[in-house]
Amino acid sequence: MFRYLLKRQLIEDVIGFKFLVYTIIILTSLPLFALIFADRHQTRIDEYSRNAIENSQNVRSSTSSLVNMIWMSQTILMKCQATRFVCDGYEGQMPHGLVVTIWGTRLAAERDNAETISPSFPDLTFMVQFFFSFFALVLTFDAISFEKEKGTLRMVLSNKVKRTEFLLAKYIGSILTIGIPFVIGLILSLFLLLLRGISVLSGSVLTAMLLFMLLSFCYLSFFVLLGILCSTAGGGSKNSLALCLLCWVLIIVVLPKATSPLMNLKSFAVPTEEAISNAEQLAGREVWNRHKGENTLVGKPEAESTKLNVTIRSEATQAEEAVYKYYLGKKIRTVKTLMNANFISPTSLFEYASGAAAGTGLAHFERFQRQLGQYQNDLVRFFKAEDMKDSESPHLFFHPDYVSKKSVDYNSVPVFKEQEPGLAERVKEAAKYGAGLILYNAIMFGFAFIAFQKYDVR
Amino acid sequence: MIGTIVKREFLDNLFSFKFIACVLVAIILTTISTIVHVNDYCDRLDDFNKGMASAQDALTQVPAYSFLKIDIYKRPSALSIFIPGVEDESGNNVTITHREIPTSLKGGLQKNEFATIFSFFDLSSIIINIFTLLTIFLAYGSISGEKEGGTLSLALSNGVSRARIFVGKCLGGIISITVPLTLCFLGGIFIVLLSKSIQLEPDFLLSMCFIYLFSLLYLSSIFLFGMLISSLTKTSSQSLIIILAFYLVTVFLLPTTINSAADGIVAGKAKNYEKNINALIKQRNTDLDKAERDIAVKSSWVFMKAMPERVSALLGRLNPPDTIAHYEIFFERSEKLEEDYAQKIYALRQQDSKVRENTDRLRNLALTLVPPSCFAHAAELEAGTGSEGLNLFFQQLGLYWHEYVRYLDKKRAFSLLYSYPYPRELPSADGILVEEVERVWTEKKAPLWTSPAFRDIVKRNKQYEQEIKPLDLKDLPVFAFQRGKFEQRLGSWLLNVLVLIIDNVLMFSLAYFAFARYDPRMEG
Repeated sequence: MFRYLLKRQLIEDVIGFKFLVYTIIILTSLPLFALIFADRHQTRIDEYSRNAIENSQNVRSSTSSLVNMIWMSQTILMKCQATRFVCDGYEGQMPHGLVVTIWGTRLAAERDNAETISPSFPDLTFMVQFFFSFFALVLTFDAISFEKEKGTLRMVLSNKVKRTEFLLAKYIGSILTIGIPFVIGLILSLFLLLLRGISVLSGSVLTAMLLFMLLSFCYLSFFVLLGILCSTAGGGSKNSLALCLLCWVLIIVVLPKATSPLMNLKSFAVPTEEAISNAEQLAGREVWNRHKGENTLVGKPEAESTKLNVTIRSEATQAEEAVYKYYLGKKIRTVKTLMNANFISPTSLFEYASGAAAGTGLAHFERFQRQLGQYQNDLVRFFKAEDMKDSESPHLFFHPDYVSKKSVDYNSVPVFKEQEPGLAERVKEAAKYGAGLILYNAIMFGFAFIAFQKYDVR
Repeated sequence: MIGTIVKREFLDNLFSFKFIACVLVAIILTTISTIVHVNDYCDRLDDFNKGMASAQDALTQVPAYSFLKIDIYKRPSALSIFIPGVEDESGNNVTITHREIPTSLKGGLQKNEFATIFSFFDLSSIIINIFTLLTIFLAYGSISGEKEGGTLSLALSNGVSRARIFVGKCLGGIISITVPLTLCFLGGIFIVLLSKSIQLEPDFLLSMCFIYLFSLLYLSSIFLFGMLISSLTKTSSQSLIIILAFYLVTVFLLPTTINSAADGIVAGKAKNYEKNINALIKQRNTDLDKAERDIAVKSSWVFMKAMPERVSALLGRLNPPDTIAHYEIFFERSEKLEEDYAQKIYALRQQDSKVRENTDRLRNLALTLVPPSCFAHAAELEAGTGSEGLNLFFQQLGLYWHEYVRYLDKKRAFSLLYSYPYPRELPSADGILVEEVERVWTEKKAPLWTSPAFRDIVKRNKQYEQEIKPLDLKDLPVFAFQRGKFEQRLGSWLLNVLVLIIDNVLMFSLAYFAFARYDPRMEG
């Protein structure tokens, strides 16, 4: 019986007018998105490889003498992943790279053509967030009320059909109906990306896609259930529609922004760039002040005062870096706190989860920063090891006058290579937000189920 | 008769669930958003005032021209409470020196580079998201619903002309939208007027009136489009599906697609700066080195070269005469070079902005065909908070930079005055000291810092530093940003408004035509 109900539901939906209209929109826009993405991706890859070449030239010119590596700074860009098609994660508006020196890492200067104008990038997440959720509601807002108004609900339920079965058939039928254009659109856009020369058949993209499909299922099922709930409890098709769309606007447009005003809270405030650099200088001076009155004149490398001077100098620079790092960390922590506070919005949960699945967005930056930190340690270790090879050097790090001046083998300088996240890491991160989505689904399902059980079909 | 129809339509709408729900949501959101944005505005104004005060203060303590930099703050616009545009994302200040013509703002309240994810809704997004939905609710069933209910045939069978029914329905619907829209605008303006610390622009209310007019034009065009679809379709559910698809496409899909396609073009093409900047900076550095090498008078004190920072270097009072002569020539050449290169770098950026401007023109042209974006852009142009407003700011800033450089020229700032705020002649006692140190330096028997004469010089220099009088900068040109004049603003949004009006006329005539063709006999 259930099978029959499901089949009927599916056929009815698929031959409907709504299905036609929304499928056309989806099948024209997804390929369009793919083309826009392919174009942009190519630009980014060019930028990335040009930057890599610049870096290697920079390193090569520094290898003429080890001393140069003290001043060497590399601007390293974040890798442009093909998974950004799944979820862009606002990477275009975030810092795009870090500058690494022997002392630490800092944010790269803002790029000249920063992508500030469009608030969202047309990626798959955007499509599911706005389009498919809307489609889900339009498909289901009269799922129950229409049958009641036409009298068919009474007839169906007077047969030996359990209400649960009926509800499930509606639910699964709608999900399958949404799934058809979804899957076709995905395959079509993947195919287009392949044609434009983007390697989407790699493991990371395919697993991201799979995870994304799972998450989309959770997200869209929430809207299908919402539609069914409104249809049951909304009192007539017309009201149910108004209710559905208002809920949609609230969930999609209003709720994700509800936590934004928190940004202005005192505890989240971050000082300006200038204030941070003042604080850095203060921290550096603080270190010098601690040694006030001691003899810190630089002279012969063996002299105690020289050693002390270099130690203090190095400590002071480290203190400055620590201040910078603290505020950078605070900025990221603030955003993460707000992201966690956004759990009230299913849309945001979905966005964060698919960002985690794709390994993009803030999680990408954090990973990048972590890896670059390790690289910086490697660089320091390399520097010290090279310096130790030179017996004439006094080994006072990192004062240009008291380290080796010998040339370095270019090929032995460590090179930074960004590692993509493993599947386990992505699943773990996505599950955190995905769990919230499942919770919302369960609640919505409970409501829909109760409402339908109590529903008076007359 | 029209009066009756309008009244009936209006009352019908007024008491429907969807109308009440939408209006409530819209009013609540407008209130919340206005309050949040007013708070935000006050914070920004505070930031601005503090910044201005500290900038003024800094100008009274400039010892030499190498320390002179002018911090310019951009006053937040009260209109940004309703139409934020890019205002709360971009920073709020620039620093002017002769070495750089600024092209982007720094600082501002948005200090967290990662927080761009969190934006808040504003009046224009409420109109685009919620009022559009409300309009759709009112329009989709206004004709097809009556067809289904059979009331349309009844009405037509009386002696009422179709034109009257149609116009009545249109008027009724538009009035039903106007009422909550007016409430939202008045409520918002009321909140703004109540907050004391807000400094309104002189034509704030005029601009608000225009924005109100734009939103009305926009919403009525959406309503008339709804009427058209409603007349064309047989059932109201069919008409609703089409209009909602239209809503999705115009409000979300097209703007995002067009914007990001345009961004992509800019990112791909505007590479002039990125490609040439490194070569130019290298060129500048070689030119600077060459300028220094070419100076015939050599400075006897080489350690002076290791000045802490090129910009804010202050030469000590006690220097050998050849060092002074050397730097006098050096500053004149190097700073002139820096000034030239600032213009060259600016020119590099200008080429990119030309690409951006051309792309933006195309983008805006494409977006005028998308009614919600057309409206949003017109509102931004009137409020002056969009990227065009920012461009205007930088345009004026570029002019001001030239004025500033001319001022420096007039004051002969690129001479010894650049970093030596003392009279040239040394007191004789100090002259002996300098000679003594110079001797130690040229003999090179012991490091300079071990000689007592050098320590004396350092001490004396510190004493002299206390005596420096700050520069008199009273006649320094002052930058004051002028918001676009009314005619300029009119010129900028005229096209958008014309398109909106054409939308209205076109939709009205098409809808009327479709309605006139309706044949009640063909029903069922």
